[in-house]
Amino acid sequence: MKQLGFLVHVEKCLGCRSCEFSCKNEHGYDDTFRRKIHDVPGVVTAGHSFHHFSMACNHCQNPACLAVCPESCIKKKPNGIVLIDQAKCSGCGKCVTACPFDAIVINPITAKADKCNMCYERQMHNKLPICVSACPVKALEIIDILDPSNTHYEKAVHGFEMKKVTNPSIRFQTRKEEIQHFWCCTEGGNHHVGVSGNR
Amino acid sequence: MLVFQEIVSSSPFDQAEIIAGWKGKDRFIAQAAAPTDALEAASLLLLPKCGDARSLLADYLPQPNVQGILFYGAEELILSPAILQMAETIGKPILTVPVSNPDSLKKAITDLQQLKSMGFFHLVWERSANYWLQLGQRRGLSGLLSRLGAIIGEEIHFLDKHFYMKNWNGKSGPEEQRIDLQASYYQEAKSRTDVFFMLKDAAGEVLLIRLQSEEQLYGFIFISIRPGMMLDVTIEQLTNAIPALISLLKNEEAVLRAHQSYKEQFLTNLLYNNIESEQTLLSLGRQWGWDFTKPTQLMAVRMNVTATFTGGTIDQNQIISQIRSVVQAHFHTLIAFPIQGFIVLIVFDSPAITGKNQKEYMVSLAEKILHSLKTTFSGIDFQIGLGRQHPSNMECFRSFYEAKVALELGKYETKHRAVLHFEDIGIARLLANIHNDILHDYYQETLGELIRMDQENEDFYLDTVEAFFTNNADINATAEQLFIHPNTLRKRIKKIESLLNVDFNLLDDLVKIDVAIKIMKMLK
Repeated sequence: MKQLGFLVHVEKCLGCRSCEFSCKNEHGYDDTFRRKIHDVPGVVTAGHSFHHFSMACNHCQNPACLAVCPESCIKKKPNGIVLIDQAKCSGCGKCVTACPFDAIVINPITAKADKCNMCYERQMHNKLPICVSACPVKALEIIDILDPSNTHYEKAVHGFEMKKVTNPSIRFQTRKEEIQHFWCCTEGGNHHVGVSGNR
Repeated sequence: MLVFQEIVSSSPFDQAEIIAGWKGKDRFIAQAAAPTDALEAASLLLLPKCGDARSLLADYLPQPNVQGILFYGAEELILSPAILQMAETIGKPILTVPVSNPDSLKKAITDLQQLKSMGFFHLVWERSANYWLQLGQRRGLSGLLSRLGAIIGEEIHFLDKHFYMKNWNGKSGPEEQRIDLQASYYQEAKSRTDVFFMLKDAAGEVLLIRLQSEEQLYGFIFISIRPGMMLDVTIEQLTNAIPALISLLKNEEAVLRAHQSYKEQFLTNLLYNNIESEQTLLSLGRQWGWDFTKPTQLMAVRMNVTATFTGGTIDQNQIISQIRSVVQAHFHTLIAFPIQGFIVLIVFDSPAITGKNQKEYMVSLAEKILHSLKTTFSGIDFQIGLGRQHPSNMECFRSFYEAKVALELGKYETKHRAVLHFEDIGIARLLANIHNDILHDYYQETLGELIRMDQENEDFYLDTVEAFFTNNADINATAEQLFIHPNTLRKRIKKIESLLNVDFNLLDDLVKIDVAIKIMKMLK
């Protein structure tokens, strides 16, 4: 079984809200967003005193919303995506209360629960979710969090309290990737060229 | 000179059916002859299945140059028990082949003689590998092993890679582990390319054959070695049958893996509310032999390796078979499978359980499972979470969530319990759904003064109040835990009451602090 989740590159996120607005254009309605940008205080290094990251439904491994729905209209697909069956939803709002991430809202137009579905239809057509493709700095990615190559990503981000009981499928990358430095020097008439990694 | 065991490895004799007298499989023959031929040398006597030849069998068998009898023809052969008994007693093989032309049989024997005398008999052995592959395709693992056993004249035992006996021939019996063979195998096995191992068990010598293809070990077969056995011929026979055996085991494993994957997919869908309708659930369940019209109960087993664990990795299959042995005494049907680091157990209601004692029954079963696992698997810490029973099996996903939440929130219980039922986790159930910011504010408002005092004066008021609640507000037990005098503790509790502006004689105040302590543990 897969468990797809969002990987947020906190060090890249500019807080530009492109992900929020692209999601709203794709799925949204007036003044309601499925995705939100959070600003949290960070460790003061290199002049940064706070950072941003984007969060929507975390498609938890143990989703609280799924268990509380009296109509059994929330399901988790084999790839880990949590979906709401709009046809069955009665709009009771229990899932809204149960979600520890405020990811579910009642759509005022349809009067039914609404949340990020990781652009399920787009993914079925082999496309990336709209928020991922709209990010200008590639701060959002979709990964399989059960893949052993993704275990090194962090489960929480400094300064943001997160519920762990539902096992949210979100991962953070807070450290900057190695920067490659290319150098060239002339010594005694000879040219030397090289590559070095520096953090 | 050829022996019978060699003859039946070549075409067309590989189709031969062994009727009787196979203990004489080591007899040598120099020629194949009809009754009208001169029987001057050791001969395989060719007789037609039809006609009067059968009635003369009692005369032919005792003749010294007749080493065995081969009946040919497409007809059915029925021999009297007295003849069969005679062949067994004197040890002369009686075989039948569905070939009509005796001359082709004579020629085949002559060809075999020539190949052997020229040192090319290995070509016959190599060709027999193809025969074993075809036989395996036609008759499966049990057909292949029973034919091989019949030719070798010894029962073939099959072991899995953990040295558990496997009943391949349909016989029922306990799947005991051959620890004696396992121990001597590990002593003998020096190279990964070795296939044959001469080992000793309580009954005598055995020949163990490793069934391995590339990196994958499929198991072992072994036979007992009797004195006077033609070991070189037996090993040749086995060597050429091994590729067919491995190919069958490979296929079997691939089919099993595909089944397992479909089964896991179905169960995952059940636990994540991905099954469209009750009808679908019932029909899919029926495919696997599960009757989902009966109510089910679900529990989740969590495993954590402790510092004393020496086994390398946790073998979930062994844990599941241990659980099965415990549960089968109580329930006929158990579904046990690993998912997300848990082992999920679904049992189908037994008539012994009624609504009232349902929860107690399941908790006591979980305790039995836990006890059995702890005794068998030292170094692994097991915890079992139980969900509630819901009216429909379509709601198994709720039970699964509840079992996981019980395990997760059980950590914040005042007293550590290894078996946790969702109904017993109390207020933590509600706390799990409240935002951390709100919880954080609540515990800071309630216990903030104590935390501040502890930090400023390097005191331990927070530890005191925690121990006080852990011991159910028992002064003596708390004092003993903290290694202080009860009067000192009383004084300390008074101080805490005044700092927090509460009265521990009032239930409301007790609940308020208890909840704050639980939140503090959760947030930590």
